[in-house]
Parts: sequence; structure tokens; C-alpha cells
Amino acid sequence: MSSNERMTKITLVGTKDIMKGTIEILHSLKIIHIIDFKEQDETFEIGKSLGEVSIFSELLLSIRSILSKFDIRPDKVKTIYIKREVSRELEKEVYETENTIKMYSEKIEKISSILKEIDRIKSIGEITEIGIEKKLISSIDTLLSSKSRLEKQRDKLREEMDSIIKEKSAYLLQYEDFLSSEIEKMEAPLRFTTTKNTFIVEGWIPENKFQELKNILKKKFGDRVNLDKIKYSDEEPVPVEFKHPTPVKPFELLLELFEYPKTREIDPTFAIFITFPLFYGIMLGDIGYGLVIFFASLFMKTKFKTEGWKMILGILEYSSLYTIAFGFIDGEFFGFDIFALLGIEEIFGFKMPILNRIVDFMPIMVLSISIGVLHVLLGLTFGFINVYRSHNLKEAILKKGAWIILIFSIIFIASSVYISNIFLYFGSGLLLISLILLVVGEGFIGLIEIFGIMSNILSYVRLMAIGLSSVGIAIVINSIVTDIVFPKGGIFVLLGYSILILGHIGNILLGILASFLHALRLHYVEFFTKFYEGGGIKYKPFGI
Amino acid sequence: MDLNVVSSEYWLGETNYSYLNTRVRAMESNLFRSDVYMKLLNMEVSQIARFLGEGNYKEEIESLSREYRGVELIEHSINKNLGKTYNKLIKMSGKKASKYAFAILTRWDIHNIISVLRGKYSKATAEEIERTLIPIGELPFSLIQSLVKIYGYEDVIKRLKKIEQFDFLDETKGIADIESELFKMYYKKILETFKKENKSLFIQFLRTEIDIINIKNIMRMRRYGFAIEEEEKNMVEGGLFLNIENLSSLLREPEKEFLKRIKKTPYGSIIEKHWQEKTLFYLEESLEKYLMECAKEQFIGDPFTIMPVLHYIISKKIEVENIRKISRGKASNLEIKIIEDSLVI
Amino acid sequence: MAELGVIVVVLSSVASVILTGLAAAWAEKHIGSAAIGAMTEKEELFSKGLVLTVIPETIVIFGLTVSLVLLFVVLPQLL
Repeated sequence: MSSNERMTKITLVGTKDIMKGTIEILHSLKIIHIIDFKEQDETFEIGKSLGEVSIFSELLLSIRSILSKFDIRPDKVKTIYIKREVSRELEKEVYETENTIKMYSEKIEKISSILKEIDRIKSIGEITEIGIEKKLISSIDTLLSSKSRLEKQRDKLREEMDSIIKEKSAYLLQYEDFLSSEIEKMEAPLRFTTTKNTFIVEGWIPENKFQELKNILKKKFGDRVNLDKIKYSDEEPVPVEFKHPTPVKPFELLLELFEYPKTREIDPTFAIFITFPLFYGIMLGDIGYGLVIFFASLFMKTKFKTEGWKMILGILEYSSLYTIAFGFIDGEFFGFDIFALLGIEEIFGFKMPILNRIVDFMPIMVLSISIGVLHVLLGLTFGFINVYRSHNLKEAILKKGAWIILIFSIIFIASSVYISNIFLYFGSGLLLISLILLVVGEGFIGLIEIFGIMSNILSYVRLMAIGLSSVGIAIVINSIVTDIVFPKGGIFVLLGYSILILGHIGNILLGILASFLHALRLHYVEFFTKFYEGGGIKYKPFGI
Repeated sequence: MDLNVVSSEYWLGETNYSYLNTRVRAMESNLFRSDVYMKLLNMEVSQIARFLGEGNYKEEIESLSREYRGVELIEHSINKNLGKTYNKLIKMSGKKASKYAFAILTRWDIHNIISVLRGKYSKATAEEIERTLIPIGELPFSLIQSLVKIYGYEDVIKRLKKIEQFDFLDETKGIADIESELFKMYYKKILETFKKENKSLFIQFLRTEIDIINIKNIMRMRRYGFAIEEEEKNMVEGGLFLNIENLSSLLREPEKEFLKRIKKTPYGSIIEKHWQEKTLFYLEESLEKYLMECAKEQFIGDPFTIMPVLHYIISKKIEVENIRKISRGKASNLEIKIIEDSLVI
Repeated sequence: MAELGVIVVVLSSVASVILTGLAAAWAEKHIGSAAIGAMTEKEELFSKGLVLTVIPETIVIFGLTVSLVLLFVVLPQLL
């Protein structure tokens, strides 16, 4: 099930004269995740930036200050960039733009302060009686009367400046982008190890790209460069690049929020893809709410296009389908008992609704706990495989197998009440075995942990409880409106509808958040703790 | 303009430790790590400015790069950022921190005043003086800025005398005297405020600081000679390991005895290391470094106290000073190794 | 005697919801303010903070379950 890209750790050693060329190649291939150089000593030291990085930095500082002052962002500028190579001419243009803008702002500032003074003089009121010379008064008058002219002048200047900025902004953005990536290349040696004559790059690349990179480098530089795979320890953080089919993709987000998996670990994304929307659906379980969330997330997908939003909305979309499905089972439509209202009692011989969440809370509670048992067992099984892979069978049985046996023994003992006494003896035997294994594996502390696992399983009661509170609020809203507000008639009908709409919007928002967080929590706290260690890092190829 | 001192207590809310300390921790994790300094050391000045502008100093670099370039840009940006950070910290720390806030803010007042006075004394231009000012303190910063605009050294002091705290100043005295008087006033006041908490880490830190000031003075006086009244003028009371009597006898010990006695304090090894050097510059730098490292180690503290905040304050100051050292060193073409040794990492 | 039992059961179920609610609220207050503190400085901690904030809700969920069991399972047996 490990569908992720296999990474391999490499070192690239070359002579210093080909450093620039190598960086160009690595930058254009966009496959290597560079490990930054950490500690220097006498022989190995950090590399030095290449080329005119100082001039480029100056330019970037100028551009960025203009961009930030006038709030120019890529999404605001519609014009297409004109690709141009960097040259002295462009450099001049940046500084010219900077100076023009500076000149304009200074002029505008001056006019503004004169205008302020004019306003202040005006606020003094009549000045003829205070005994100033007539000539002076008349010149003050001309100054005052020039106010509108000055204002016009200022607005004109502002317009001119704005048009200059508008004209230049696409170009500035493009230039910023270009310089940033140039600087990334120039500063790459700051991430390398260098000796007197050579440079060394450490990093990760996808295993299937290794040969390709090697061939390219060999063709270009021959013997002056050497690319090797090197061993790495289990503790080292390995970059992870997920490779899941499209429907599962959004659920990668839930792992990203937690921690990236280690290489040898089972990647639980697929399991989450199945259980997360299931839990969500059980908790929210309402046809109306499900529909609202489904269409809302479809709509929002057209508005929010960043990677993170796409994933969240994708998760919500899947979850809302489950919500609708469980809405049919619970017979809820915005909190109303839909089958009772429609007069449907039976579908395909099933009494409708199959489970009424208010009345049948006991069966739902039992169902929730059973789901909990299964989920925890799944987690322990994953854990068993993980430990088996990283250590050995004995360790796996002691660490994870014991718990699996323990849970089975409890299932047998509990079911003996309904089935037969043999189950009781069999269960007790299993219990004893598991307890012995626990003590051998983890000492007497292991016995205390039993409470931990019990509370883990009981924690799944929230599948019932969160749903109950959500449907409870919905019913309260409905009954306030239908039993109290509507019967009063007249204007109250309008009020009733607004209470319904606002109340359900609030309850939906609450439901989205609560169901999401609690489903997430069941995965992070109850499920992941059984097997997941994490410790991978995000794959950030050089050049992107 | 209003000459009254802003009392920090008015605008502080209740202290919420869980909020405060997680936030401060998050801020602390944003500080530069040692590998970043290694990169900075290998960059040119404009590169450093750009690099800072891509991280925590973005706002300051972007707004100030219209006016300044190079080292000027970096210095102004880090000063502004430091001021902003401290004000933010004090505001979010709430009432429990007001005493500490007072101590820290007053410290910056003194820093700023001394910067102005030194500048005026050496007839520096207003721009040069402004570069050294940090926009933070109990006094309104506009007051400090107005001091820069006042013409001469004496006039600045006359102006300061109108403020209650500083009425003891005397414009006929030299800059060195005024400086030591300001510091003495500061430490006296702070130790008084914290009289009941003699054992607290913060006070121990302050008293270590006093020790270090005193040791610096002793070393200077031992090397360059001194007048009797100078001795009394320069010593600050309240040191952690060395009180006034100790100091005055230390001052008169012959070399061997001095070293033997000073080795009983934690400062001994530092002094011994630099004993043979011609200038005191490196010794003083090492002592400063020791103080910073001390604070960095000690203030980690309990999450339900104000200690993590103090730790951050020190760490942030260290970061800013490191950047300053790097950028100045780079601008004056110092060797990387020399700059690196002066950093606190 | 049956009446006393009923009173005790009803009061217990009330208490279990109220007390666990207060406990969860108290815990969430602290976690929440810590989470907000962390995420003002590091936005990427938003999701972690949010999940951590709902952790103590388990308390009130158990409280609610206990209260429901008392009302709908234990109480009918007394009546």
C-alpha cells in the first residue's frame, strides 16, 4: 500500500569550476531536495555565493519596497509578463522607476502640506482686523483662493503616478520573480559543503530519477563530477512525496497537518479516506445539511483555488455524501423527521427511519463503540506490521499483538452473555495470555495502559454524542418555530422563517466544525497513536 | 509636550500565562538558529538586508528601504523591529509583568539618552544619532527625538532636568560622569522595586550585570590608573559576587592576588583568558557575551511565570546585536572569523 | 424508597452534564488561549491548535453519555 515515491539519499561531489553549471542543471530539473550544510570545521566549510548577488539584492530591495508600498500582487495584475533577459538596461529602468515614484510622492506630499496650511489659515477666520499690511493680506487671499487649483494639481500628479505604477507593475513583478530565482541559484552554495577545490551537495531525489540525473551530469561534465547513493539512518527525516489516486488526494492534508510519515511506515492516507468521511457522516447525518455542504463546497471550489483550500473542500465534499447517506438512515432533513412527514413507513421492507437518533441512542452507542473497537484494531494491526518491518516478529507480538489479543478476549467475554459459556472460558484464556505478553513486553506499566486503551475505545461514543447534540439543536430550532412562532401568525411567520434560516445556518457551521474536528481527533488521538510515528518532511525540490 | 512619564500599568490587561508563554515560545522558534548566522556571515551587506526582508524583518526592511541602503537600512530596521517586538511583548504580558516592563523600558530610556548625549558630546549629526536610537522606553519616543533636535550637549541635559526622574543631572559634568550617574540611578531604582524578590532570577541577572559593569571599571582603572573620587563615582552597588568593599580592595591588590581572588567568581576564567591582551576591548566583549549566555541559560523557567518572556527578550536582543555585528563587520571588511567570535550563538 | 432513587438518579444525571461541561470549558479556556497565542506567531499551527482545543471535549461527551444512560436505562428500571 506504500504508494509514495521512494526517495534515495545522494551526494554529489564536483570540482569547483563546474559548480555554477551543476546548479543550473539541478535548478532546471527540480528534483533534488537539498540538505542544508550544518556544521563547519577546518576542511569542510560553507560555500560562497556566486556572481553579482550583491547587485541583484539591491535591485530586489528596490523592487520589493515599491511592490509593498503600492500593494502590487500577482493576482491583481492581469497583463501577461513579457519575458526579458536581465541586463544593465533593466537595472537602470528599475532605479529610474524608483526615482520617478519618489519624485512624484515628494511633490504630492509638498502640495498636501501646503493644503493643510491653507486649511489652518482658513480656520483662523477674519484676519483683516489684526493690523497686517494690506499687501500681505491680499497675497494670503490669493494663496487661499488657489486651494482648488492645488487640489487639482495634486490629483493630477496622483493619477500620473498611478498610471506609471500600473504600467510598470507587471514588469516589476516579473523582474522580482526572475531575480528571486536567480538569487536562489546564486545562493545555493550557501547550502553546500565545500573544500578547497571541490563542492559537495547532499540531498534526496526520487529513486527512479537517479540514473537520469547521473547520465545528464556525466554527459555534461564527465569525470569532474560524481553522483553516489549513500546510506542513511532510520532516524533521519526523509522527504515524502505522496502519490495517491485523485479521490484520496485531499486526505493527504490530514497527514500534512499532523506529521509526514517515515519512509518505512504504513501510509494511512487510504485508511483515512475510508474512515474519516464515515465518522463525519455518522456524526452529522442529515440529508439537508449534507446537501447544503455538498453544494457549498462545490461552489467554494470555484472561488478558492489554493492547494490547501482545494483539499479541505475535497474532504468536505466526500464527507457530505456520507452525511446524506446517514441522513437517510436517520431519517433527518434539517432536523425534521422526513419519513414521518412524507408518510413513508417502509422502504424495501425496512422500517423507516432505520435508526431514530433521539429514541434509539442506545443501539447507536453500541454501534459507535463497535466502530471504535474495529478502528483501534485496525490501528494496532498497522502497528503490528510497522514494528514487524522495523524490528522483528517477537517485538511485534509483544508491542502490538498483545493488545490485539486483549481486545479480542474482551469481545469474547462480552459476547458470551449472548452466545454461550464456552466463549467466556475461551475469552478468559486469551485475556490471560495477553496480560502475560503485556507484562513481558512493557512491564507492569503495560497493565496501567489498559485503561488508556479502554478510554480510547469509549471515546468513540462521540460518534453518537456529537450527532445527538447536533440533531438536538436542529429539533429545538424547528420546534420553537413550528410550535411557538408560527401559530401566532401575521408578521411572526416572517420571523419564524428568519429564525429557521439563521438557526440552521448556525447549526450547520457548528456541525461542519464539530464533526470535522472530532473525526480528526479520533484519527489523531485514538487511531494514530497505535501505529504512527511520523518524522518525514515535506519534499521541496530545489528550483520550485 | 507632555513631560509626564507614561506609566505602564494603565494599559496592561490581566496576565494570561497559557496564552503568553505559548506565544512567546512560538516567537522564540522564529529566531535565527546557528546555521542562519553561518549563512549571514557569508553574505554581502545588501544580501543580508534582502535576506532579513524575506523573514521576520520584512515589514521594516520594505518600508525603510525607500530611505536607506546598506548598513543604515539594516541598523534602522533591526532597531525598529526590536522596539516593535518589545512593545508587543509588554502589551501582551499584562499586569504581572508591569514591574519587569518598567525595568526593561527604563533601561532603554537610559540607552537612548546616553546615545543622544554621546552623539551631542562628540558633535555627531542628527542622522548618526538617530541610527543608534531604539524606539522604546517609558519616556515617549517623540521626547527622545526632540532631544536629538536640541542643539548642544548642555541644552539636552537642561531639558532632561525638567523631567522628575532626571532632576539630579548636572550639565556642567562630563559625559562619563553623567553616564555612570544614570546607571547608578537605574540600578538603585530597580533593586528597590524588587527588594522583596532578592532570589528571583531576574534580580540575579541584574546583579550579575552590575558585577560586570564594576569589573570593567576595575580593569580600566587598574590599567590606566585612577583618582580617588573616580573610584567612588564609578562603582555601582548591589553586585552579585562583588560588593563595594570587595571591589575597592580588589582594585588595590597586586596582580597575582587579584587573579587568585577573581578566580573565585565565575568571571575569573574570562579575565584570565584576556589578561595578557593589550586592549580591554576583547575582555569587555567576552564579559558581555558571558552575561547574555547566562541569561539565555537561566531564564528558561517555569511556564507559569514571566521567565519565558524575559528569556525571549534577551534572545531577541542577542539576535539583533548579532545581526548588527555581522552587518557592521561585513561593511568594514572584517574577517569572517573575527565577526564570528564576537557573536553570541 | 423508589422516589428517593428517582431523585438521586435525576440529580446525578444533571450533575454529570453540568460538572463535566464546566470542567471541559475550564480546560478548553486554557488550551484555547495557548493555541491562539501560538498561532498568532505561526499561522501554520492553526490546525494543530484547533484539534488540541477540542481534546477536552471528551470529558463532556462522557458526561453526556453517563447522563443519558442514567435517564434512559437506569431510571426506567426504578419506575
